[in-house]
Amino acid sequence: MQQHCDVDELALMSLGEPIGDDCAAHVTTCEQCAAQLAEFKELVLVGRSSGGPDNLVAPPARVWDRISEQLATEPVPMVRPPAQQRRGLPRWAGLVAASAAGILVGGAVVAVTTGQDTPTSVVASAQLAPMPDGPDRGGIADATLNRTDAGYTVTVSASGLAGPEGFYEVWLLDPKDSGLIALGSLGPGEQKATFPVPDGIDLEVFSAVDISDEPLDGDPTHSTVTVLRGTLEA
Amino acid sequence: MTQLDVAEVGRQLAAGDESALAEAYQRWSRLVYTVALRSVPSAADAEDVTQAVFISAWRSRDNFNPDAGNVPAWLLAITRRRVADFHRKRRDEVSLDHAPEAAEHSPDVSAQVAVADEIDELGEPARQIIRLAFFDDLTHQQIAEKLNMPLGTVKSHIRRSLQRLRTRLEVTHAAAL
Repeated sequence: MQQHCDVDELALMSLGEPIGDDCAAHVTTCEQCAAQLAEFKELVLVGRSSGGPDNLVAPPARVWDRISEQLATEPVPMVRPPAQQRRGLPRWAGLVAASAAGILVGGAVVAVTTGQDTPTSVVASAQLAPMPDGPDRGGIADATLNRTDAGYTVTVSASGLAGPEGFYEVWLLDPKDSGLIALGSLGPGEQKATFPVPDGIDLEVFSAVDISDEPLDGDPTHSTVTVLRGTLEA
Repeated sequence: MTQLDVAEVGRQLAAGDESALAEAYQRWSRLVYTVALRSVPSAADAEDVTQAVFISAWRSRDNFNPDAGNVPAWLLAITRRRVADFHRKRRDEVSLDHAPEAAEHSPDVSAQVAVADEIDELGEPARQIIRLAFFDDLTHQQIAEKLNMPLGTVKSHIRRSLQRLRTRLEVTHAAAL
């Protein structure tokens, strides 16, 4: 029996080219070569019927514009550079103790909202209130920790909050060790915003939401001016 | 500009990098749109399907396993689902008696488009050789003469390109399951 066909020959055969008699005879009796030829033939059939790359049509530019517009409304996990994510906080003796003691009562509301593709469920919530010895900006806020297909997010809804001296920054706080993760800032006049939580954060540890008034000094650390804080509870 | 490795686009996309979605769109929107054009009645419908595919891809990026599949095959699998959604919706809207024969999206369409795309991805001279063999029906001798290349070189380009296209076809079929 003849040795197996040269694969080059089988490739040419699949394109309809005449090949040597030996291989042509062999392929009728060898399952392995026949199977290889059949695969190539299927491919050539699909390839030829495709019309080739010239038949690929690019969508009009407006399609990407619409995608970008739609994406702009999606929660995007903008993970901050690590240097900005974790930093120690000067220990404000009384403040942390007060928070740990649970000055704030967690809500018990569990709501499920369903977006098109990304169901969001509230897994914990907190009511945020001024610190006993911090500034009182006359407002209150709720925070929810949400689970989405893309990970966790935190939504803050404030009301009656007077304008900041600099800007309001939202943080996740570890009440025990005062570790902080910056989630993002509330825009001017913005009362409600959703922030993605970086993947891998231990939410048992970073269990409080803190809103600080940050001066416009470019210093990325917490100003220590907490205007509202609350502990997330399931 | 160096093109990112397909696997790297997948890893970045799975990691939630929005620029990877833009990269995927730039490279494979022709693939998605061409399949859509061949599967739904109008260009406007095909635009809607294309938009839905990339939005779905972004939202379900966590489900994409860059180690188990590649982005274009995954996009084609999503395209198949969005096209099916389109026809399902159509059927619901039109009373059954008057429903026009829907041009259902057959796997063949995505296989064809995937292979056409892969031909485009072949480097030169392989791309030109395959074009001449597939679409101009030239024999390998004629191609060798035309491109002034040794016969053996043309033969091995044909064989290697067919194997590469075959791999792409297999991945596309696998993702369709």
